[in-house]
This record gives sequence, structure tokens and C-alpha cells, in this order.
Amino acid sequence: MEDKKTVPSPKNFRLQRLLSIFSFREFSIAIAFVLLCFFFWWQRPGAFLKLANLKVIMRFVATFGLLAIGEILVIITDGIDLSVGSMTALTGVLAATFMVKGVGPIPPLAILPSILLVLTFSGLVGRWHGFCVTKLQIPSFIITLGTWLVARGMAKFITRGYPIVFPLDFPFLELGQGEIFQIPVMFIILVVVAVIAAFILRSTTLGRHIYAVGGNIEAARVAGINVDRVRSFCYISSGVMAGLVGLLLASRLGQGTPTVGSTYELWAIAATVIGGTSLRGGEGTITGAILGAAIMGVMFNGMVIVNMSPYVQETVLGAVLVIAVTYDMWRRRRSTN
Amino acid sequence: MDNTVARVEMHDIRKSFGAIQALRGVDLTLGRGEVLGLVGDNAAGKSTLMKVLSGAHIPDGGQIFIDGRQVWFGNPEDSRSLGIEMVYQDFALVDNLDVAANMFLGREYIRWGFGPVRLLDKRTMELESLRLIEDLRIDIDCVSLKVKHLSGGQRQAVAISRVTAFDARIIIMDEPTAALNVISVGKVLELIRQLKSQGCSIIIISHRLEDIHQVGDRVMVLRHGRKVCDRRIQEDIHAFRERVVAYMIGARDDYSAYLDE
Repeated sequence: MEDKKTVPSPKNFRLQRLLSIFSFREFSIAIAFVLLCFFFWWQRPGAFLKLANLKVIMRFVATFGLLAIGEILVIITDGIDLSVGSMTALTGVLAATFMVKGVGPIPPLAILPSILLVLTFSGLVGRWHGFCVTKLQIPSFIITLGTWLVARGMAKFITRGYPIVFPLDFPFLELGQGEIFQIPVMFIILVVVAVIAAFILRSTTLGRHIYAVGGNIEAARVAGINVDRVRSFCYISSGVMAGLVGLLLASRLGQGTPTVGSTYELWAIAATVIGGTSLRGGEGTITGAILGAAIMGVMFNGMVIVNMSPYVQETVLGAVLVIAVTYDMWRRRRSTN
Repeated sequence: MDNTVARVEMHDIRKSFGAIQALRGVDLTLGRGEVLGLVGDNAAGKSTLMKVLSGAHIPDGGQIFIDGRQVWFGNPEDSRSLGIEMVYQDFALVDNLDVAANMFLGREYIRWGFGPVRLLDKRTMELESLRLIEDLRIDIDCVSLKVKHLSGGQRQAVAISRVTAFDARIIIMDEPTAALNVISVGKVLELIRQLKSQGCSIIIISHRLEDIHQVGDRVMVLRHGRKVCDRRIQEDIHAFRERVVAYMIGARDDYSAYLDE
């Protein structure tokens, strides 16, 4: 046959793959991010690009980026995880309890076992969500809303409302406060986790199955995909991310506080949505979620350094969210016509 | 291999759901490269019979022979491993994935694997789906196109070629031409002829008798869980339609002598 369809050569093929990382949607978000940075830099050239300020932004982005990575996996499978904010409080409190106070007669544990214990616990909470959603068919909204209350309540109960403070030079505090070559450890953790998550979503069968489950769960099932296991994986990941952020926040603040992280689940969802994720499932990328978190971080920080009234700040963020979603819907409608 | 042995032989298949006897001892044979039209009114037992063959239902009684060897299907994987594939009525495609991803969904090529971490071999899958699409002369230019941008006929073509990617020898199609426009119906029928010429045995469940007349070698009519007709398609479309409808509504019955009652 002469008129063979164009088969990409291996070289072109890789190039295509490389370019597709910056598919149009992420690209426009990235441009918005850069413009935003330019705007604040132009407003306060001295303050915005100061190293100390960049570190503040990086820590912020790390917090919401990590939560958004867990959240986006759940959202792609057409679910939602409302528990992550409260879970950061509970896991932070647990970490402080394990390391500083000890549980009942058990003396305080070493740092590493405590961290592992906390991450395992948060993973098990995620597993519980997965079990309820897949086996008991409870809507993810409801079951994670339950955990949202229970986790917050437990954090308050364990601490009786008081923060558990770490000793001043406690090595655990390096995690949230430390830096490597001027880059906050938190941010490095974000980068590592993001690379792993993006790799899973883009290049592994699991990632493809996650998108398939979100796109058409029945088709995924008849194709022989273990749908329940895929969904459970996403809830577990979201739980572990919440646990990780809980550890980082406790370390950053130097205490396990039962009030930390309230409404963080909504910020995490907002980050994914700004990053172009559809709440109807089947769509969304890690790049987008990180960019969404970055836009929020720069906005939060920029509004402070240009002395915007705190009363106006949330209004502006809300407007940005609405504009982002409206633009995305409009663009999507145009591309399908 | 002995070419006279039927590819599929189902004998005296029975299946009840509670008090309802969905299948009351149905026989079915399907030769190599044969296209069998399976017809019947709603609730006649067509889908149940096909679900038995694809392993989704376990029959209460009866035997199944594939290439003369008796088999027993406990789940869809068992039947799939013998080359039996089902194309579902609602296409069973994932809209947000591209053509190549849909073709190999659930059975991806792996470039590298370690435990649960399995790296997709996207290039091989894309080339392989391009090859399949060319073999079956489907008019889709680009396999990295998302399925939601395809027409109904193209979607059906993807769903059908999807099963051929795994060396399906026996393909069951549930209403492959429902909800398609005239041109797409023609293309899907052409695709069925292609598969037949490649040696696939095909069972088509359809309400569109003209489609079965066009591509079918034989027609089988079920009524109330029993086979009432099993004959070669020889007559012209009008006589065929009239005859099949007569069987469907119970005016004719070739097997009434074998009734239990």
C-alpha cells in the first residue's frame, strides 16, 4: 500500500511525547502563573523576589501541592476527599503525641517510627474510605465528610484543645523548617512526590486505569480492570498525602495543633480545579494541580506584600477560582464543537 | 486441526433466574468463519445465552464445546482465554482516553514491570492499533485521538477492532448496528465481513433483520428461552423478514416436537 498512514519515527514520537507534557491547557495555566508573578514583581520588586519571600511561597505551594496531588487522584476517579484538612490536624497531633508525650504508659517513640506510624495510619484511613466507596457503595462525599468531622474531633479530644509543643531543637523540626541549598525541605519533598505521581499517572498501567475508571467505570470493568483496587489506591494515596502534610505542618509550626489545616481540603480542591481538573472525573494532570497550587501560593503571598486588606483577599481568590473554571468550561465547549 | 468440528457447540443450555426459566435447553452451533444472526423478541433469552458463552453467567445445565473440547466457564476471563470476546451494546469505550488506549485497555503492553509498577509501552500500542485499523480498513487517521471526538460508527469500529487485537476467534456482538446512521451501518457490516474473511466466527444479536440478512450465513431464532428456528439464510430479504418474524411471534416453530410438555 502506497498511502500508508504516517507512522511517527521513534525520534518524532519521543518529541511528540515531550511536547505533549505542555499540552495547551497546562500551558495556558503556566502563562497565567508567570503573568501573576510578573505582576507582583512589578508592584513590589524588592519584596517579591526576596529569597525569604520565595521560601514562604515554596512552603505554601508544598503544603497545598501535596494535598492537591492526593486530591487529584481521587477526583480523576470521579470521587472527592473532604477529609484531608482535618486529617492534617489529626496526623500532626498524633505525630506530636508519639514523639513528645508517648501514648499512655508507652514512652515517646523515635522520630522515624513515629513518622512511619502516622503515614500508615493515614493510609489506613484512606483504605477505609476506599472500602466504603467500593464495597459499601457510600458516596465519597459523604464518607469523607464523616472523617472530616471525626478526625477534627479526635484531634481536639487527644489534645484537649491544647497544642502539643515540640522541644526547640527537636530534629523532627528540620522537615518543615529545614533547607537544603536554600530550598525548603518541604518543597523538595513536593517535587519528589510530584515526579513520582506524574510518572504513575502518565506512564504506568495503573495511571491509565485511573483515567479509565474516571471516564467510564463500566467500560473499565468489562475491560477486566480491577476497578475497586484502582479506586482504593487513589483514596489511600490521598490519605497518605494528608498524613505527610500533617507531619510537615506540625514540624513547620513546631507543635501538633488540633486547629491546623481547617478548610485546607477546599484549597486543595481549588488548586486542582484551577489546574484544569474536571470534577466530573476522567481528567486532570499533576502538572496542572501543582500549577494551581502555585497560582494560589503566589496570589496569597502577593496580596500580602502589596498590602491588600485581608478582608478583600479571600474575595479575590474566590473570583480567581470562578474565572478559572468559567474559562476552562468555555475552552472545553469550544474544543468539542 | 479437524475442520469439520464446529468452533462452538452449546448443548441443552439451561438457566433460571428464580422462577423464571430464561433458557430451557438451547442448542447452538457455530462453524469456523461463520456469521450467525441471533434473533428473538425481548426476553427471549438471547442475551442470557450469550452471557453464558462469554462466561458472565454460569448455566444451570448443559455443555459447551469449543473446537470439540468440552469447556466450563466460571467467569469472563475463562472464556476470554479461549478467544471468545464480547462487543458490548453501549460500545464500552472510555471517552477521555485515546483510540490506542481504548484498544488495549485492561491488557496494555508493558515495556518494563516490577511488581505493581508496570510501565506502558505506548509506542508499540499505537503502532499495533494503527496496524489493526489498517488491516480492518477503518477510517480513523490518528490513534492518539480521544474517543469522544469520534462518530458513532468509528466508535463501534474501535470497539470491534479492540477485540480483534487479542486474537479473538469467536466474537459476540450485541446490537452492533443499533444507534448508527446508514453509512456507519454499512461500514460496520463491511468490518464484520472482513473479520469473517480472516476466519473469525461471529454471533450477532440484532433487531435489524436486514443487517443479519446482509452479513449472516445462518439465523437462529429464540422464543421464550427455546430455539424455534435454525436455518441458512437463502431467501431474499422480504421472504426472510416475513419468515423470521413468523418465528419470533410464535406463528412457526421448527422444534415444537421436542417440547418437554
